[in-house]
Amino acid sequence: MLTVKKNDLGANLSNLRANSSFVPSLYFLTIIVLLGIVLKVGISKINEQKRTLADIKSRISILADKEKTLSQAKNDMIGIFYNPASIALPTENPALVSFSEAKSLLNLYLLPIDEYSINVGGDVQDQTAVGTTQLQFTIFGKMDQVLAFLKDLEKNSPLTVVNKLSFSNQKDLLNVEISINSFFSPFVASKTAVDLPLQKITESEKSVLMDLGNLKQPTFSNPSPNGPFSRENPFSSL
Amino acid sequence: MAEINLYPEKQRQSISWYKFSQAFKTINFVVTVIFFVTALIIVAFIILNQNAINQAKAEEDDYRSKLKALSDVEYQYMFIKDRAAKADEILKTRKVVKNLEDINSIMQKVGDVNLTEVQLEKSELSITATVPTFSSLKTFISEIKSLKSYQKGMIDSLSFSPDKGYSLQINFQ
Repeated sequence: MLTVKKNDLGANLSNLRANSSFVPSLYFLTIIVLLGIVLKVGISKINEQKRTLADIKSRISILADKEKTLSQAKNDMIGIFYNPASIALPTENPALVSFSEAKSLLNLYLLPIDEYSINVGGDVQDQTAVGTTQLQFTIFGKMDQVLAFLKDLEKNSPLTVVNKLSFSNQKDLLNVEISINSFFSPFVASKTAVDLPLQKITESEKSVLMDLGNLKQPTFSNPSPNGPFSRENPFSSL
Repeated sequence: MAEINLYPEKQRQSISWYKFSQAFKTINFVVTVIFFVTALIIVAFIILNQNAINQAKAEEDDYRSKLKALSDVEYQYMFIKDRAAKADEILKTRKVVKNLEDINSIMQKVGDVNLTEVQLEKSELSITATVPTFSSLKTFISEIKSLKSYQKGMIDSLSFSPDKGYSLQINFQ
């Protein structure tokens, strides 16, 4: 015989109702929590990807700009300015070339050189520094000749600067003591990071490079070798 | 057979509860759909972004390899930039020949000035000269005052003798 106590029945019904609301609630909460997690993780991942993409794009724009600048420079600027610039301001001490240039010009302007000295500057280790070689000489000549010589001297490569000049007048002839500086500077290209933007050559630097390109380049001659000669066969007469 | 309602009246499931549970089911369904749709959208975004990143990385690598091939050009470019900057500084120190030209043009203007000794440096000029007449002296001094390369000039000595005329020494700085 089925006997149901009133209280037991009530308790069972309460459990049933509780179960019928507990499971959907748990499901709801789980979905909401999962949705929260998915949103949080997903959005942070998307943001991270966006940052990565923005970083890569900014690097690409730098690299593209660098590549464009260098490609253009390769076709025009480097070919025109590299050699004149490296001769005008060489990495090695240009004392001999400068003196040779000055001597050639003095001959050209018929200015006799009396005495000279070359004060070769020491090595320059720091690539930001500019080393100086000082040439001092005394010449005799008329003002126009001296002036023309000095003007021409400063139009020659390597770069020279008349540093000091003194003259005394002796019967229309000037006895001129001249001190000129020529310059050199080592260059060790610091390996800059590829991602760093290239420091572009400015318009004023371009104009300086044009000036350097307009300087008269030194003439280098290659002496022809003195031999070898054809040798006679020492046994031919035997 | 008689129907026996064993549920006590108080504990019978109410209609409102029933409606609520039905609505809750619908909400759960909607939330589930939202969850999956959101998850799908996020995954789609992640995949699309990853593709874009991969493409961008490939493009970046391409530029890097191009730049590697241009490393010599980059060295030369930096070299000429370095030379230009240093040459500019050097060229700014060129003053002596220009000043000598100016002095020469003054001498040609004044005519009878005899420069006995001149010392020229970048920022200093010392002139010892003889001038036969007072008018020439006046012209010479007014012309030499117009030299713009120096900030101040000082007449260190000025003397007169009937034979040579005026002899003076001027220093400019």
